[in-house]
Amino acid sequence: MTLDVVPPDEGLLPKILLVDDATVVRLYYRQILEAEGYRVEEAINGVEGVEKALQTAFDLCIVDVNMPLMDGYALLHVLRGDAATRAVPALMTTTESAAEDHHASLLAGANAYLVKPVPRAQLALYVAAMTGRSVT
Amino acid sequence: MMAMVQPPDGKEQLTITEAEYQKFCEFVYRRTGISFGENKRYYVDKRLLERIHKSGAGSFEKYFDSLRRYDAGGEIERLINLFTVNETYFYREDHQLDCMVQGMLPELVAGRRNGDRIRIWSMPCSTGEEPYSIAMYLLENWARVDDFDIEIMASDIDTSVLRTAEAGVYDTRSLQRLSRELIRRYFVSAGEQGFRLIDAVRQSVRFTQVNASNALEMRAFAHLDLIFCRNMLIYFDDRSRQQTVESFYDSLCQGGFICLGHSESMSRISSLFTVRKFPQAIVYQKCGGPR
Amino acid sequence: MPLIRANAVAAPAWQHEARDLLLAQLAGSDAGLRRHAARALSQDSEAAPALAAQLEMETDRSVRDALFGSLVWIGGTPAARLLARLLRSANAGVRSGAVEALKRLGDEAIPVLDALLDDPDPDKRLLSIEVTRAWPSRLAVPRLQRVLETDPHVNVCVAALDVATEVGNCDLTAAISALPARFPDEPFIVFAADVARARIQTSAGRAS
Repeated sequence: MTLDVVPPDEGLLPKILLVDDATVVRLYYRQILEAEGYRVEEAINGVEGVEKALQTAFDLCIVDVNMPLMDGYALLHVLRGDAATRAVPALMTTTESAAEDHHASLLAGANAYLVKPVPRAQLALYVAAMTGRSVT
Repeated sequence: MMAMVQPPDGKEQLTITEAEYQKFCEFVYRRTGISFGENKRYYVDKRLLERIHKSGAGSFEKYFDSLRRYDAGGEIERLINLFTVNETYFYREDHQLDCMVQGMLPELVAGRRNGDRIRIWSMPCSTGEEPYSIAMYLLENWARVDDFDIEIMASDIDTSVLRTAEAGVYDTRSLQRLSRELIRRYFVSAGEQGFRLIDAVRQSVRFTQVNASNALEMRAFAHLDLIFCRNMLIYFDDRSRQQTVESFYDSLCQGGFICLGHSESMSRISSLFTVRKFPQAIVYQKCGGPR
Repeated sequence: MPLIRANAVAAPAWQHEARDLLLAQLAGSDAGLRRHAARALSQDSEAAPALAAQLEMETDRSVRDALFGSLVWIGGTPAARLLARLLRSANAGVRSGAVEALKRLGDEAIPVLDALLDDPDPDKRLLSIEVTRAWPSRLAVPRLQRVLETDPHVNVCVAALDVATEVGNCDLTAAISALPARFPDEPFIVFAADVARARIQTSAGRAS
């Protein structure tokens, strides 16, 4: 899957998959991202994340760690193991502040990580960078 | 836009606020994976108010509280029933039958010899449209149907639907998705009652009564290649769903598949299965673990 | 709240031999046998520590499932305590599995949960709050209230807010409203508090 670099005023808007079991987190990110012009879909755990990622070509997956049934690391493992989703950019969000957990995120296949709670500006910045939008 | 219901005793009219609607939608999404689109507000409100009234709860708050209880007493089932279409007919969700022929069976039989057994289970089978559809679809569309010994089993908890299934007589509503050619090939006229399935197909399916939540009864089914379990689990409570899915896992061979209904997902039940995406459908496979 | 547990039946003597065999299989190299052993031990409360110990190192998903399932069947405070320890696992899947198992223990998990909500580790408190989502409001709300009023860690309070959106009632309104002042540098708290407040507003007694 190739990453389309699409400026916001042209053609298709980037599609983001939010995978987090917390209602308020998904609402918050959705509000921020839709205001920035992204299209957003949600999943509540890793299994639903896999299902959605296999059905739709997302430009970015934002993946939380602690979720029932399938955690964020296991989700990344599945995504990286499937040809259809191997290259999808993944931003991991974690409540862990310890450095070794950040390394674990990258080792698991995340392209970047952020520590929760994620400030609005930081989320917008990372998402823009990871979906190839120019940042002004 | 809000729906309003006037209870017969003339009490104040109930409405669903925006916050209540969102709270309800999130709850349903968490429990079932079903999302209501933005344009479904009136549709949802109407049914929700109907249940609030009929259940005697009297208010959204009390009704929501009752839904949240572990022993919700079938209320979630009643609610979901209002939101889903429950009719059964031949070739329903036939993209999964297509997936069976184009995707799942080729994988399952790779490395098997001619004459080997393939075991397929339709559970719940209701009045038989599903298992008979499987049989017909295989005969019509699978090039290798004669290469293997295909065993189709069908089960339901309800003996009256099983009797109907065994009789194999259906009305035109059940046959609505079948071409005239298929009807001609697989059915004979049964006068006013409709059409009866030809014996060759009727006799190719073995019907049994089974309670899916009963692990002991489920253990009778083993070494299965393919399970169709459509539109049953969504009505179960969490515990029964988990137990049933565990039984299905045990019943399947390594590499075997299970198909759920179009508004159902393993994401609300279990992580035992590997999600597989075929062009025709998303299905779930038992892989990698013990047999 | 219904409890999921096996009936208390005195085990005949020969079953103790079977236990030794099952425990050996539980630690063996065959995942199929481990899964079988895990499920066979679901009636054996004395096997609970062994089941929990295996969870610390089990890599097979289906065996892990069976281990948690059996701990839930065994139930009781000992099982709850063992599950509580697993909240510290290095494996996110084991941590989440422990949360879901504690939910299924219902009332039996209450004393252990209350202790967890006082744990010095904010990650354990955060995970514990999620368990209260499975409780009736009358049990969950007092715990949530205490967290919202006193917990010093922002993510712990966010977890409480999230559960409150589903489980909360107006007893929580004051604590929720006071949160932004407790965390003045966290705009997300303002957002989440607004959502929680809107969702716990009751319609009881409202006129159309």
